[in-house]
Amino acid sequence: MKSVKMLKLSDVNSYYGKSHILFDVSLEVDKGEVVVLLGRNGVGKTTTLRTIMGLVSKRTGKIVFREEVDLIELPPYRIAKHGVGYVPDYGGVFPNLTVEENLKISIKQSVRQSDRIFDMEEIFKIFPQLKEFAKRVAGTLSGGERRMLGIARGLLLNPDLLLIDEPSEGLAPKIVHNIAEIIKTIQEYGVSLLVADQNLPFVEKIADRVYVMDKGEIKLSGKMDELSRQDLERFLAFS
Amino acid sequence: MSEGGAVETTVETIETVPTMEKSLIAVIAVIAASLLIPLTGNKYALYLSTKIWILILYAIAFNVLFGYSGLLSFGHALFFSGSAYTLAILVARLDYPLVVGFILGIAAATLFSAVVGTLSLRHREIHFAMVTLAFSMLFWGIVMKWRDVTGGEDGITGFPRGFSMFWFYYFTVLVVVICSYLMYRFVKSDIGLILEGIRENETRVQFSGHSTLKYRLYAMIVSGTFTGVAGVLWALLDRTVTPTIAHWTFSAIPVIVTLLGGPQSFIGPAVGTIVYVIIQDLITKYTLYWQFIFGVAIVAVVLFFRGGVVGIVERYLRGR
Ligand SMILES: Nc1ncnc2c1ncn2[C@@H]1O[C@H](COP(=O)(O)OP(=O)(O)OP(=O)(O)O)[C@@H](O)[C@H]1O
Ligand SMILES: [Mg+2]
Repeated sequence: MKSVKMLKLSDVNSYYGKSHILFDVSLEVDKGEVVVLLGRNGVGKTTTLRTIMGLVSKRTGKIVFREEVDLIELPPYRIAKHGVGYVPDYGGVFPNLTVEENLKISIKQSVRQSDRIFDMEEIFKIFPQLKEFAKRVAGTLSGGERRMLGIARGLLLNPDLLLIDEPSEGLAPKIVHNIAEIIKTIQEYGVSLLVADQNLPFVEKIADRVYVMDKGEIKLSGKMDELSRQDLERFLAFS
Repeated sequence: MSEGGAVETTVETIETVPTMEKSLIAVIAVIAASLLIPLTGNKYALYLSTKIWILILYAIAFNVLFGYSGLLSFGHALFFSGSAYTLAILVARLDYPLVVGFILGIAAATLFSAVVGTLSLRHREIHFAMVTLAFSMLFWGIVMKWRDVTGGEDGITGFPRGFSMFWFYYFTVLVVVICSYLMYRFVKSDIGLILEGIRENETRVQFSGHSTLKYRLYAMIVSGTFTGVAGVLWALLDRTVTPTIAHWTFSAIPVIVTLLGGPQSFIGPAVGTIVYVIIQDLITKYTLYWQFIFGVAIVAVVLFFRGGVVGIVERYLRGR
């Protein structure tokens, strides 16, 4: 059985105004895989995810989704409709809307109506706390809860691919562990994931494959269990 | 921090349900009381209250765009006068029945808002305000210059109201209440939720799969259409239209009353309108000096009480 290439970036370059941020980035995510983009602060992880999502206005190269469609020219809402979900760092919730309203904003957007997996009910099964907080304003949630809400909102789009930016950042180890469990659960539903992070123990728990980024370039890549910890730490150490 | 300036301020949890019930009761009480006004036989009070009702509709319609979608239009006089002039031209110049003028007047406002929206919604914030202002000034210019049709500075008279002042008042109340209810349903609908999301963070709405441009256009058309309803009522009240209602100063009215009453609440603009018209009516009997004081008072409310008059009252009630 040949598996579908969920995402394939070829020689992607991105710019913020005049500054060149991503240099010929190429990477792939297979169907059902959890791929992690690893790297220090400021190397371009967020920029990579934002570029895929159409949120960086100056971008070149190819971003082929499901071997069908090149996302490079599309606006963010079309990319979302094709089936790419995005969870920004810190969750990217709407702080003045309630938890329920935050979820409702993306619920209508299911891409392929026929194979909707995630509805409110299913989401509350994965995130029981959110049901408890349904009427609360999202701005009052803790950092971890906001991250959960952001992921839940991304899932309600019923994406084939979910991009998550630094899900572990600034969270207590116990919460980081919960997030890792949730990412595994999402994978079991058949959703492919591309996660940006720099917390090595967390990454070791979730990743099938890793791309290591430095100064806007991919420096190293491979299966999680085949890469040496030393090599990875070398890129994460602050210099 | 990278996804779009994400300094998330924490929000105080507000028990909205009890205040909502309270304000619903207050609104019903005010409407009921106002139904008695024609029975007093005071003609001036009748005229003034009809005017207030129409301006309330104007302000609420404006705030669908401003308060709920975060778009400040400085050209709503275009939709208001566009519908009023359409009615006047159709009925006084072309002898169409009043009902046709009424309906096509509103339709003209719908059309104008769709066109202006399509051409202006790519702009944000002050640029959007400027583009809408420019369109309304253009329309004002046409109204002033195209004398054969619009009557220039003199405007258009010579069409009926369709009701006595007495019954026109009740007609106005009915129309304003129905329209306000429809707008309330609109802002509380799924589209309204998406508009609120856009006001908070447009990018997040986009990557949730919505074309924000499309939803902003919806808001513009709803706002413009109901502004048009206010416009035709206004034309009927005075049985005349003049360029005053096309001038930019007429676009400023909903801006001021909304800021005064509070853009965050649905009835804020209505409260602001009542305060504004009554105070203005009182002070014009005095001097410019009072107008200055009124101006200062408005600025003070806007600067120091961001929830407007409604916000002040709410805070007072919650403090008890
Ligand atoms: N809006 C912007 N305008 C200009 N430069 C930017 C902008 N956003 C990010 N950059 C720059 O792009 C580079 C990559 O930033 P990016 O946010 O992608 O890094 P990151 O790997 O996600 O870092 P972190 O771990 O801190 O989130 C940095 O040098 C950053 O300063
Ligand atoms: Mg980042």
